Amino acid sequence: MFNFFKNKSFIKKALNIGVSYKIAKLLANWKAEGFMKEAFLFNIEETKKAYTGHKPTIWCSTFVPSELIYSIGGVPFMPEVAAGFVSTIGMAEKALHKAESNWLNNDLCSIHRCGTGLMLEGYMPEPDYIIASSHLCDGAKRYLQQISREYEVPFYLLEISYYKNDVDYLAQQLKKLVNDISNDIGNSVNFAEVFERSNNAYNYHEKINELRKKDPVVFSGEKAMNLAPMEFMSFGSKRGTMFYKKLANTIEKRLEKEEGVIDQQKHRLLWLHLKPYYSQEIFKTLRTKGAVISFEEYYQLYWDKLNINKPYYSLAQKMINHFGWGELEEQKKEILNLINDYNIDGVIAFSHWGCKQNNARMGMLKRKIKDENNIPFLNIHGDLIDSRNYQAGQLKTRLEAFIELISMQKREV
Amino acid sequence: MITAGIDVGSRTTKVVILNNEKWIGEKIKKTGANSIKKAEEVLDLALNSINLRKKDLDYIVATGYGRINVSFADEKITEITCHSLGAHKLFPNTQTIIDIGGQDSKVISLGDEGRVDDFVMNDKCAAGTGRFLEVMAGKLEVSLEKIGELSLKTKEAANISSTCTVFAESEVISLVAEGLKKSKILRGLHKSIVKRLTAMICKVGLNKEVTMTGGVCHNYGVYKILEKELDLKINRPKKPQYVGAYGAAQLAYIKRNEKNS
Repeated sequence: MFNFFKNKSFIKKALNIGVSYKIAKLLANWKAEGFMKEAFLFNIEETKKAYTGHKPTIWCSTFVPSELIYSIGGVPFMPEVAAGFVSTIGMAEKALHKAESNWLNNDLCSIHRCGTGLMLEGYMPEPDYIIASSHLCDGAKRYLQQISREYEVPFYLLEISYYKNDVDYLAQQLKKLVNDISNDIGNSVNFAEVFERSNNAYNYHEKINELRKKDPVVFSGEKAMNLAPMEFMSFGSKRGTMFYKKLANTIEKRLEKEEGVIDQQKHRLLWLHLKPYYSQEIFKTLRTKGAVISFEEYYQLYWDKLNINKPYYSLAQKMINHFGWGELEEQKKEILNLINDYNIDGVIAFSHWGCKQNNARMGMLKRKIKDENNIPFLNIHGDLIDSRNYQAGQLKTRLEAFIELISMQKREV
Repeated sequence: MITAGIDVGSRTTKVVILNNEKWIGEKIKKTGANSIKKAEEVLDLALNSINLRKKDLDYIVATGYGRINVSFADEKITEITCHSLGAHKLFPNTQTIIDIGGQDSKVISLGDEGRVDDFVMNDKCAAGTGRFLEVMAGKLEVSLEKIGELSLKTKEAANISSTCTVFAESEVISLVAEGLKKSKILRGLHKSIVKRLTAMICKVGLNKEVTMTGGVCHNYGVYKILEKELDLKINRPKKPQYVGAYGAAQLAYIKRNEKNS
């Protein structure tokens, strides 16, 4: 059974959050506009809900669909997304230090180290349930299981088959999970409303992805990846739908006015995996050389719209169809489609320290993209969260040399 | 047309002066703490040596890690591009460049006309670079100029398992304590550098001809082991440290011509 305010320090924090919430909401309404305002409000509102505990807070790994949580009547909280946010505001080092002081080895993924540090520091909202998926991220399920023991809350692991046609096995697990949690909470499950919102957001997102094929690039990959929480957590929420609607409108208007991200756009790049969330100069370096990320792997709509008549099957299909899961041949094909659709001049693949699902594929991707299709390909190594692993000078040289290489291929040098 | 290429590396700053693509002067000095001042100083020295002044220069291209600080350069271009053109001009059939500098190493695959097709660089640490050898030479009390020659006096190589400069240094201390000959230790160190390099070469692919550049090219031990490992003859420029600066000066010539036309 989920509990409101499990301890005193948590109550104190929740009250502080109430004040911060009001200030943040005022600022968001006053300062932000359009899609950014929706993104701010979404994050502020969901964060408040997660901390105040009026609804069950359900921690989940980033590859668990948010629609599942909204349908049960819970608040999704993704500690991996929280780690990204903390890195953005420059607080990750403290959390990492805390985790490392508690025997978390530096060789482990910094996302999970940071999340553990935040938990140990008492910054995380307490979970009522924890759900992890077995696919894509090897560390997440172990990390989240460990957390469930710390908080003594139920842990659910969704076992995803490697084969994409094996959807029923996952659908059955989802059905059992929904029954268990909804019985425990005493909520009725509302797939209809949540799926409708998700599908509406999907329609706008589809439009955005079409618009992003055009020139000039008016919505950069850097910005899109900054807004990754919306990709992971907002589908199925009211704000999520509004966010994608407003973003589509903004992109359309910017295209009409030809308001490109940079004045003299020369090269369109595709970004694979996510970007570092701490302050860095990667994108500035690219921009000064006339290059802009015009699309990124994580913005793909890899699933079909959700089907209210087959809710579990539909959610299972969304999970199992993730672009990073299954046969590498499929991934390679999809990346080549993106290169073609988005008129890509070069591909930058970011290798996050210790990330098996991403790093293991690099050699094969490089052979397919560069060697077989002659598309310039740069693999850069770094860390999404831990700025101590950021080598500014070395990275700058690699990025600039890569753009020079593309220019040379186009015979601009 | 007089052009200059300035390569501000982490260890040394090099300048090459060209007169219509022809190499007419050069200078090299340790970079030290003030790379801006050093770039100016080395450029002045190179110009003075051939009785020219800064005002005689038509175009300057800066390269190397410190390129960003050379405010008086007309353009800043990475060492990857500059090394490629430099090696191509010296050995026109070059298809693979292996560059081992003071604090980095890189392997570049070339397309036509010296254009970069692909490249890889060493990651983060100084393992497998000139600095690595400098530290080890110091530890063994052998001058840097002699370590190559000494390492070739034996066919046996000590097993150096660590690629980290600090840990490899500890290994060297242990091997010295065990009484192992310096030549064997040096051969082992050279082999460990070559092992790292061959992994990088595999990433971009090995295409003949191969040209080696950078200061470590002076180390005949590394050069010979690399040739043996790759089973081919490697081009070795007479002034390997200047290849980046030479490429930069060649690019300066191209850029100036482009602007004139």
